[in-house]
Amino acid sequence: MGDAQDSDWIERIAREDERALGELHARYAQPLYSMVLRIGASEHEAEEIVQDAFLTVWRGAKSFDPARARVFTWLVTIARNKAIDRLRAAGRTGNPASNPTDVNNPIHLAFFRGMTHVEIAQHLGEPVDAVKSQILTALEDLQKRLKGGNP
Amino acid sequence: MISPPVHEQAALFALDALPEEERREFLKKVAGDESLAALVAELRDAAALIACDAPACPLPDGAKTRLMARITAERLRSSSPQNGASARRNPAARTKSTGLAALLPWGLAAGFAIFAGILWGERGSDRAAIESEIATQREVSQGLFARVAELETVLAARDSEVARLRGTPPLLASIVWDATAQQGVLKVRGLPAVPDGSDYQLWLIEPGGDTPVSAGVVPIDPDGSANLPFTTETPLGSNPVFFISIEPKGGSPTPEGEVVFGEM
Repeated sequence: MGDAQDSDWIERIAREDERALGELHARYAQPLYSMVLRIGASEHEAEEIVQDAFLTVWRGAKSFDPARARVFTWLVTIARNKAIDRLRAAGRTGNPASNPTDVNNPIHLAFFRGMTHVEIAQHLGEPVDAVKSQILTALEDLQKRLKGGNP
Repeated sequence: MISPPVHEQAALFALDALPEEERREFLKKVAGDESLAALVAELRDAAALIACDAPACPLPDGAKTRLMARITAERLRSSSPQNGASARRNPAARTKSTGLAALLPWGLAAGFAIFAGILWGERGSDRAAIESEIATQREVSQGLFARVAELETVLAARDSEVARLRGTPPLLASIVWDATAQQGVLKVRGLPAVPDGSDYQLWLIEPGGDTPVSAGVVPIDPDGSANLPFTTETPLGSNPVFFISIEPKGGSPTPEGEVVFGEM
């Protein structure tokens, strides 16, 4: 299972194949749900957000180009944006103390808390350039991990 | 060749960590540079892996069913009779779904499918009557969809259960039971007329219990539909079993007549 299977699901979803959407959900809903909870949503909110994300996929599958992006990246982007937008609207984002593992990790602060690199530098008390460098290094490590297999 | 500072910016952009003004400026750079766009795409793929650092949490029970119910409802809402084929596709995939939202759209889709099938086989002189019936069914469906949306809202907020009933003849019946408020509503279509001197009566019983509780006589409209909001005098949990029996006119304190419809 991997990118080819993901692309096949999206092609079938574009043809309104509900079973394909169910299979995509079975594959990715749980990690998305976990991610949204980590961002700070309640269990009820997280289910709604993940559901909305898959509804977005259902509506937008026809315009998705697998050659330009991975399906998993697309799903994560949709669900993360929805979660952060919703929590921001409720004034409930950006509290790194709510998860101790985020406190000193620049990429976690950006990804799960929606913080900019400037905010992260202020939070960590480090120079902005140092934070930029740490983020680039961390993403390059993840690129290597990606080449080793799918999530 | 992408310079180190631009490479760093690309990483921040991919992680959505650039302040708004810098983000807009960077977008302009990406728009005119294919190699930079490719780098951003790669970095975005890498950034998405951070999602996997979240501790694994199991999905709530029924999450997939609720999603598929929304998908089905959305598809049927957007379906016109001219493109009804998309609404009829793959009905088997729905048979495992539970809940009102899953039941109603497929019942309606089946109705449209049957009528569309009839339409193909009928002569022109019969078409007008059939088309009129389709229009009527469509009006009914719109009302039911509105009710589904209303009930979904109730379900999302409360300790509620949705049940459906089965019997002979087949009918479209759903019950929403709100254990928190100790109240529910029965919606049914296709009930045949009862014999003179009798009434349909709705009952609830706790799983494993031996004393059914009456939810009242079911008033039937001339078209065989019924809408019965009900409460019970005896408190019940969140998962009672429902059934309908034929009782003497005005109802019985305990079920004595034939049980004609029961929970699936």
